[in-house]
Amino acid sequence: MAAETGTPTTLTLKSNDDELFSVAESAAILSVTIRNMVEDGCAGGVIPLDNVDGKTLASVITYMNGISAIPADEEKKKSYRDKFLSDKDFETLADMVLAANYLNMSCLMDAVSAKIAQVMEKKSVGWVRRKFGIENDYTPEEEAAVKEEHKWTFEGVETDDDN
Amino acid sequence: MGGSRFQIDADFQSEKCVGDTSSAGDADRISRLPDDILLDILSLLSLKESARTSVLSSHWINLWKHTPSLDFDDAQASIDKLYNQPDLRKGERRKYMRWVDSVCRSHESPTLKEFKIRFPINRSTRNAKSIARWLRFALSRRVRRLELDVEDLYGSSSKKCCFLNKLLNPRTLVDFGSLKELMSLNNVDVSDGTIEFFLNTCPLLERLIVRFSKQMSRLEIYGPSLVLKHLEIKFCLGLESLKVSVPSLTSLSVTSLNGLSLENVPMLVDLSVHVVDDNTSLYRLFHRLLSRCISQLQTLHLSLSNIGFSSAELDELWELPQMPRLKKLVIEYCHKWYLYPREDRQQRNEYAIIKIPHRHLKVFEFRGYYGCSNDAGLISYVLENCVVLEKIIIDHCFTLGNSDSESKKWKKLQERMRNKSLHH
Repeated sequence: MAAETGTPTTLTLKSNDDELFSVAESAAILSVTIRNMVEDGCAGGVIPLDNVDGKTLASVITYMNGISAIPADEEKKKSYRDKFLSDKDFETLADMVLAANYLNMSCLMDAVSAKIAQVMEKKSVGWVRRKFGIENDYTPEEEAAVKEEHKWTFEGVETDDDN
Repeated sequence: MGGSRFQIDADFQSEKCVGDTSSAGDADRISRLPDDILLDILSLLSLKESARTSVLSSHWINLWKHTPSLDFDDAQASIDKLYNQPDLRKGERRKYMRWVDSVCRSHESPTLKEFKIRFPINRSTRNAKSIARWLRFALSRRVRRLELDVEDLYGSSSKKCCFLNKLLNPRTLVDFGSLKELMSLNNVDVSDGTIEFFLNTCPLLERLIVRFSKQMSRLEIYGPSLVLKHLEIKFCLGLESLKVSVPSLTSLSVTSLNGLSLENVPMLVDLSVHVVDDNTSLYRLFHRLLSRCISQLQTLHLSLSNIGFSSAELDELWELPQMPRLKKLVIEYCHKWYLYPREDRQQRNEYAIIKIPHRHLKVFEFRGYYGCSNDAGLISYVLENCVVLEKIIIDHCFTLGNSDSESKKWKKLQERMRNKSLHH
């Protein structure tokens, strides 16, 4: 993402590890956070984004450019989002959802949340723990008690091997 | 597990501090996401799946109780399987009711986006009390979308389900004002007065759906201050007249009715009519009852549930009035095709002039295509005469290749459709 300067419709964004990115204002204002800055006239120089690292910001900007190039056609936008997220691992998705949250980009947030939910869907507790590295801090007695209290959530679950 | 703003049972927390010495580790990235984001993710799972996450670790134990949507919808299949085993059905029903009760007791979200009950509940006083309790719970959480379907196909349905009386009792009246997006009542016996009461008490309601209520007779839906956009009143046996006068209404779905009257509906563009032949004729429907709004329609969906159309009635279908703004026309035969031999459908006079309005029609959809010459004739006409047609969808209800003549006809039709698409 080479920085270009000069044109009035280009904004410069700075990640928390000091990488600079230039992006068309029309694409960047997909972020409500950035749009508010632009509207308040605070977007003249470099816009520091303290909660987003360079790698994630590069990815978010790719998304901003990609989605804003698609005319108002929700189906095409959805298929772009699906394709954009298809090869991302969970670490990247987690970075991205945090960045989308910070930048207030609801369309990206919804898409990433849906992607994560899709991974969890119809999986056993054990599988989800392993997949996401969730540490089980229950004692066996506690776990049995929680399971008993939520017995109804296990009805009709096929994958009972290791839950 | 830092940062959770939710209460975790004190027992678990104190034991955990003593018992668990392994490091939290960087690996557990998902649990360290902000709770708002985790709730967004949980909201996309079914209620059972989202609640099952409580077993993952102590961080997750109470998260699901804050999701804004309660959809008690996934038990229908299990009871459908038990249609001939009344005792087991009774057991399933009790389990369902206990389930809803226990979730309502433990749920902690102060507001609800959605509350949905779908289960065949027989109409005893005790059950009515339960339903009233659930609705009171949902309304106390300022629910925006309420859906209720309590059909009991197999049990005795002679008793009236009187839970609404409990809610509408002036002494214990609850506030329905939070309902903005949707109120959907299926198989709930609501009277004309109740519907009118709802509309008065939910001034911000945008969608109202009532199906299979047996208690309505003369319903009037009117009010310049209503913001209702979508109205559906269907399959309500006993309903004799329906008068609709809602300036904000854009979409209406009804069963054909002699006493149908649309008055002040300037925004109405999307109309769906389920035509029942013993109520009113198509001619009367389009040239009298709907004449006032017919020219403004952009989408028309006609469901034809009867199979024994006389030639005269079929001709009526071909002679729909001019609809200059119509962009999409859907014709759907909802017959149980497997119950009737194909010859039963009468042959339409091939030379009748079809006056489908066609200047703006872009999408034509034909569901329940039956493969007889009437059907093929209609599609031929559309292909020839709808000059700006962009899309034609045919959903056929027979297995292709059953007989040679059928598949030949079908292939011929496909051929014509291909040729048509070459021209455009």
